Amino acid sequence: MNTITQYLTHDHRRCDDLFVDAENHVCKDAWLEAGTCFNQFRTGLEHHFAMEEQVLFAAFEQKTGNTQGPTEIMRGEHRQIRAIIKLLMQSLALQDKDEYLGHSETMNIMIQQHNLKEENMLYPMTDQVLTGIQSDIIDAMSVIETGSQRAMSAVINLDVCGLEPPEPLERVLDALAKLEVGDRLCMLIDREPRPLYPILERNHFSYETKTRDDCLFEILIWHKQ
Amino acid sequence: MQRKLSFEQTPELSIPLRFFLTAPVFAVLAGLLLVWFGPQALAVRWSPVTLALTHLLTLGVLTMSMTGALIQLLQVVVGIDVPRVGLTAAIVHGALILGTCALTSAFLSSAIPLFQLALVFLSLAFTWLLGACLAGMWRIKADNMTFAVMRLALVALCITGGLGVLTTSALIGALALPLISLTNLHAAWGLLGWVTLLVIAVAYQVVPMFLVTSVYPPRVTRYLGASLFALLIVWTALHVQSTVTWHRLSSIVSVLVIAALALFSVITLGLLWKRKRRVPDTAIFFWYVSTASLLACCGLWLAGLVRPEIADMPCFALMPGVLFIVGFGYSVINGMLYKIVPFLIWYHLQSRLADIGMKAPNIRKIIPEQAAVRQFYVHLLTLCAMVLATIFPGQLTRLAGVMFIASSLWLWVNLLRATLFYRAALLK
Repeated sequence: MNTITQYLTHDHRRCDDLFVDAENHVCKDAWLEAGTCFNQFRTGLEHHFAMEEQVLFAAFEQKTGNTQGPTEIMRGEHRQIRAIIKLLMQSLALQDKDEYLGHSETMNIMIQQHNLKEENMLYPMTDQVLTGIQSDIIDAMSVIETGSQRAMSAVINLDVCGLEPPEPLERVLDALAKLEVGDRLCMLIDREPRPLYPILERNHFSYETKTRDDCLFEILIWHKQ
Repeated sequence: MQRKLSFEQTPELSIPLRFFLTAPVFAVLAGLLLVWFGPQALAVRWSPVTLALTHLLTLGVLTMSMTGALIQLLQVVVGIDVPRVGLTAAIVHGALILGTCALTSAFLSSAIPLFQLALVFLSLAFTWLLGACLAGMWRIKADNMTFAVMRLALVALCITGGLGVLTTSALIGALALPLISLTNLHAAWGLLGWVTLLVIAVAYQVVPMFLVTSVYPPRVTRYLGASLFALLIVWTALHVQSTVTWHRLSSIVSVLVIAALALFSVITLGLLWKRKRRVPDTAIFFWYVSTASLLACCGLWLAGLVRPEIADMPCFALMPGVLFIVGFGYSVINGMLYKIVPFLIWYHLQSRLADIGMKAPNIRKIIPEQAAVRQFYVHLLTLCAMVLATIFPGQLTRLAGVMFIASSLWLWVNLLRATLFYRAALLK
């Protein structure tokens, strides 16, 4: 990765793949998996926007002295994309397949034409304007990566002790659908939830099981990196 | 020098839309021609009706929509300012319509003044278009392969136009030139140069991005377009010689051209087959039909080269043309219109509606998937009927014509409803 164009283009493809995964799950009515993938996509996208808006665009604007040019238009498109994200989240929450697929079609074309402009025009321009300090910019952007993830990282507690099956499983699956990348779910349960483990494996979650002194089980779950 | 950026200058909605809404109308006219004249339209390559039909399709449908897409893409994808884009669109669009109508009526009536009129309008349309596009394009380094191949496509259009002028002059007796040879060259540059190169250029970007497939192998994107262009030049040079040895060489070049086209079709089919996105998408169906038709056309052409008795069959005169123009060209354009038009309308709508704090509806409400899928099946049946009509012109030409009208009219209605949707949403 030696140019800004390559670095960010690669990140576009990563977000695209997550977006398509979410959509494919919706097609199959697999709402839980769709939720997980969508959250990964949303986190990835927000992170991508943060790299651009906070580091790259700022550096570009400082160097060129132009804050009303292409970067401002790209910020505008980011706002439009965020608006579609909200619509997608609503249809995801309502499990409305038609609405979701309609908005995801809009999203796909919106994002792809946005990528096209950035990859063909803006990134090469930034590589040109920021010649010599490209690696610093890329470093600064990758720091945002870890920084923002650490800042957002949270532990969500879920106590399902005393509930009758299948309620504990349902509760944890609901919670996992909303779990952000980087966050962790801490589940407290009075017996070891063996059926849960293969489900976690299949959906790309990592987990750790601890037996507490009071004989309750504590299961820590997070998205595999 | 830093290239000038034109993000904000997304052309006005009416600029590309006028081309896209005009193209299906010419397709309907082509269908009427088939119905009106019947079998003679699809019996021999050289009948005036066939020539009129061919130009209605290549100029009125293919070139019309490709020009609209080109003006839009140059500005948005490559960041080139088309100078005075409103005026350019108005002149190119108007001159292309008048030129196509004049040329079609000239073929049907054999009236020399009409040929002259067609030459004036079409020369105006293409000179203006090339001037507006190439001026900006030549200043940019061609590091992007879509852009490099697009430029070659425009050069091919330039050559096609030039050969068209010579062919017409020979036809009306103004110049003493070998008419058949010129016509072959004109057709080769128009179809294999302009149409194919532009489709290839656009496919490099559009297939991976909008249809969500892997990208074309870099070695292919790097060399395919330029090779095809170079082969056309060699083929032209050999064609002008026209001795027996040169003829053999020119067959070898033809085989290479076929190989290049087949390579493009096979790779595209492979990409579509392995695409990541699982949502049903009408544009994909159109791409399948388009690339499969191109492949079939290659097979037919190769068979004709290897076994001359196949090339002598009456249906061979027109079947490759139908597969190429309707199967390959019209299908891909029909499919892409279903991607481009709803997006453009949505894009303009949401920016207008955002000002008054409203949200634009999702893209699938602008052209419902159902309407597009049904029109696709009609298009597919029409293509089959037209291919069969080249074998049985007596029985099937009129039926194929009626189907062609139905399919194109339906496309037009779908696009028109999208436009009306835009108006209605703004008036609300």
